[in-house]
Amino acid sequence: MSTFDIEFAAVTDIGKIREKNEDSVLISSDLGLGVVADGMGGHSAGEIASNIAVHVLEETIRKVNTGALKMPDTFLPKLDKVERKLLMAANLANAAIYTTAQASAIYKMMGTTLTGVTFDGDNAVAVHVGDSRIYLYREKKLVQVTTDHSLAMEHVRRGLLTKAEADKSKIQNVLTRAMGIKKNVEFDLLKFPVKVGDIMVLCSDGLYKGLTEAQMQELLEKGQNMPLVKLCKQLVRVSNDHDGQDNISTVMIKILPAQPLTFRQKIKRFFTKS
Amino acid sequence: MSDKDPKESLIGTDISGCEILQKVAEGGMGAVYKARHKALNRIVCVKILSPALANDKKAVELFLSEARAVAELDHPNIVNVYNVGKERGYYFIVMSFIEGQTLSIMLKRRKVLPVNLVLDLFDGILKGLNVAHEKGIIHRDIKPSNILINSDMHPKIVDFGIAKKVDKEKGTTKTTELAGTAYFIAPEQALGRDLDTRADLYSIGASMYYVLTGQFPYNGKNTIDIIQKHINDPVPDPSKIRKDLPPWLTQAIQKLMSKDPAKRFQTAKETYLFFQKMRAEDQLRLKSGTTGSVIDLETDSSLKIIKESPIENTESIKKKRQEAVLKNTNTGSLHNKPVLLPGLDESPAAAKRKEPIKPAPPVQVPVDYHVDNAAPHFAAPHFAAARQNLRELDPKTPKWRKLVDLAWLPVLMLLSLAVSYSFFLFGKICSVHVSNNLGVVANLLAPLTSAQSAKYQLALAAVCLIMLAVVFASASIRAFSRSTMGLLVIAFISYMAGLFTPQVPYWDIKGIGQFLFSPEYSLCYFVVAGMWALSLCWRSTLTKIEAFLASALVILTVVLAYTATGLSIAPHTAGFFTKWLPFLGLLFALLSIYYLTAHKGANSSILAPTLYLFAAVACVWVYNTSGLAYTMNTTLKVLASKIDAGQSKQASSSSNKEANEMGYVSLFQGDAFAHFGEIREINTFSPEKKYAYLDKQITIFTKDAIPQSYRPLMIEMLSAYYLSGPSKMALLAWDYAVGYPIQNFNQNAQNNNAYYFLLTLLYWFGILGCAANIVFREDE
Repeated sequence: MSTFDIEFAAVTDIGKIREKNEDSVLISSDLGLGVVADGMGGHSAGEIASNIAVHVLEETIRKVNTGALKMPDTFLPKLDKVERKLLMAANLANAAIYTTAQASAIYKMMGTTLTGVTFDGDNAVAVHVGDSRIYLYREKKLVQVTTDHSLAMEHVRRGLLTKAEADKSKIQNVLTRAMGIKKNVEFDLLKFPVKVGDIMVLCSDGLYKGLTEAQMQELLEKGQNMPLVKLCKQLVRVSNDHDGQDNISTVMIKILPAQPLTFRQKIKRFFTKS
Repeated sequence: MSDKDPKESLIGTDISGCEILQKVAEGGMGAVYKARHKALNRIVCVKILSPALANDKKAVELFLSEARAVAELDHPNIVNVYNVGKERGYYFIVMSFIEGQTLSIMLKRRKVLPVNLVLDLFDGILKGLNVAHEKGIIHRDIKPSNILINSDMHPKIVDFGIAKKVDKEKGTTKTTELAGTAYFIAPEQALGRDLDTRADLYSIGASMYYVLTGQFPYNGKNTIDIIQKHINDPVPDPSKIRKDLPPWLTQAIQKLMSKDPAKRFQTAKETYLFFQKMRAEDQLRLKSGTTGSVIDLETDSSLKIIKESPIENTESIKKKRQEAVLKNTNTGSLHNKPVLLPGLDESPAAAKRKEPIKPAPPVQVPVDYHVDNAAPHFAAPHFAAARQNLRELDPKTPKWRKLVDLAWLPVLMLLSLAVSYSFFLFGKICSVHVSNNLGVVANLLAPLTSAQSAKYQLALAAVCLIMLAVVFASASIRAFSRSTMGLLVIAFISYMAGLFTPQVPYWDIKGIGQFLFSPEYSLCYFVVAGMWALSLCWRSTLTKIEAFLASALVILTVVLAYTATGLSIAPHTAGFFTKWLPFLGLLFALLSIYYLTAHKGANSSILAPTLYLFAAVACVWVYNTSGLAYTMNTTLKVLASKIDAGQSKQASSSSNKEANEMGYVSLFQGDAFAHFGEIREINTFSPEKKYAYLDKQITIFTKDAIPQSYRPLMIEMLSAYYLSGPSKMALLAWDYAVGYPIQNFNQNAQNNNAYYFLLTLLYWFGILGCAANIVFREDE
């Protein structure tokens, strides 16, 4: 039996001024996977890139799970199975985007961020590249778990800019790493323990541009007992009201105490789609 | 280029009066061609936006912004734009063609350029730049590869592709490229601060440093490193590399490369004036020096326009290293580690791989984003208790699962069959008690309260109620919820079917087979199974065909309602309310279709469309029966008032004729029930006497216009009038009128082949759709 039940919710919004939504989100409760991808390439198909990213990631994990795809033993043998799986899926997704981008002039130079979380026992395993973020809300504190791969954040790391300056900076949008730009990309792989009551917020930059961490924390605190989807929508709405210059996407993952499956739930799981 | 498309080949074609001769360069945005302007017989340069981007507003905007920026400038040191526009689907810019090479190529070929030549070149570049700056245009990407040198050693600034007017700065899109090139980028540009024309001067300084020394002012292991050195590192001294630089030039370069824009030369003009002044002084002092005429340049070298995308310089370097590293470093880094640039820093990644991840490493909050007291919450002890396995996330969705799902199909069908069967029986029992004299609502309840109850009746009623409860309860189980509504509809329809089959008590039917296969029942079964199966298909994810079917079903149901109620009496269109009923029905039908097809949210349920559908049917139904109800009501009103008048006449024992007249007048004035309060003795009659009395009255007043078969109904309603008043009578009339089509429903259905056909279709669509849904649904 499981230690946790995991609840997923995802919302994506085009924002106020964009003509298309280049973000993609994906949640899959049977895989225990939540992904946010923020496509880019102003004159290329950002939405294609982000779409490929989330779908190839999901598909690969599914294939590995069902045995349709074997992970090569030589692929990072030191890592855990789930980490390897996630990393391989991310690498395949990058390859897929890169190949697509190279094959056509229309998609050339497209890219995407990717931030995905899955679970391995008590731990959340995350793969991350780009400037989408994972926040962890625990015991009324909100912490950014990932580091942005943006030039602004590089400057922050070197102390050339303060975090506050970076948040307003024009180079916040300049990524130092993204999927689809190169044949190989280095992903951040994170593993951290989770516990009951945690809420993880995966979001594209649109969300945090319209919401400070304090505001986000406040909303999460107020909405702790709300249905997760509602909370998700609320975050996006508030961010959109404040800013709305970009597409806003968020995936929320809530760790719930496990309940043994009743007969009813078994029937329900049997019949309900994901 | 790998993506070269034969269709895109424009060689030999004609664009804006220019014959395209050859491609000289190609980049992400498009290609640059050498072309011949036919009218002027002059070689020009045509830049064409990649056709793939021609529909992209942003790309076109960016492309045209270059032309606009440059078109404002007319200076010998800036490339000239002759024409811009769109022809045959191609956006193009016609520019002057410069026979020569870029400054960076020239440097690579010659290794070292004489100081005086460099100063001559930069004199021109600065003059050109000054003109641009005076117009408020910042180039933002000044670098040696953006400076073309023609055979006369005349420099021209090109590639205003990212140049923007100062006041046009706007929101940015996400990109992996920084505007400007890492080696020559101004600190304020690298920090994303507001730019002014002095940023170009920094780039001029950095370019001069590079051109004079052959080395970049800052070098680093990657782009970010270089960029950050521009921001942070002390200004390098070019004289350490090249000894023959005059001291004033060293100082000038360092001044241009000041981190603080305020400490630089403030304008391009100031810069070149300073250079001119210092060179004049030098010449005066040394009484010697040439201006580069000694340089022997390959004048006939082919033109090379190297389009360097902003970080391409560093990219190639990075790529080599990265490829070497990534062969064995396909891994990630821990989040709190300094971020690695692709493939450039092998050691941390390698170190990480050697170090297996600890079971529960506390998440470390990066110092920069520190949240007070956050760290303790991540300490391992919190998780010790919860250290069990998560639910097995690996799904097992082999083929047998689908087969099992399919096996559920007959089970659920049997369930629906059982529900419908018992309700059918129930309806059949109730049908015994159906009275033509009662309205539909009264008839539905009458059997339960009937004194004539058979011994199975109550038991079966109980079974039906239990089944109904089960169906309702199953609504709380999500697995069934999508078919619950269908089951409820099934139950209702079964009941109706039973109710309106020939009125034979079911215990009188000898053979059960005869009963099961009676046409009524098969009809009922079709409806039932069809509804149920369709309801299974109505999920949040409707395919187009399903959506089409669903909306077709809505229309069909409404049409069916219309035909089923088709009475010989026209609807009563004079009433304000009934006049609008069909439109209301149409609105509801549209809403139902909308919710079925367009409203595909994750939570979309079948409830809303079903309710709207019922509302639509109800509207059509009431509209169609309104004629009957109105006729009945009018007849009854007149009748009642006449009887009233007769009675009051009797009561006042003849005499006052005027009062009689008045009574009739009041009738015509619409005050038909004026005497209602006064006449109550009729209520004291026994039922038989009342019936006889009213029968007689009707005969008197209508002169046998009403057929005998309708008498009981009329009397029923009239007695309701005397018992409870006119509104009760109107209600009964409406109840009867609305129920009237149902009384003939079954007969109608049996005589209607089209009806059968439609139901069969419905049934098959439903079953097939359901089966397909299970078989072809995506893996979970």
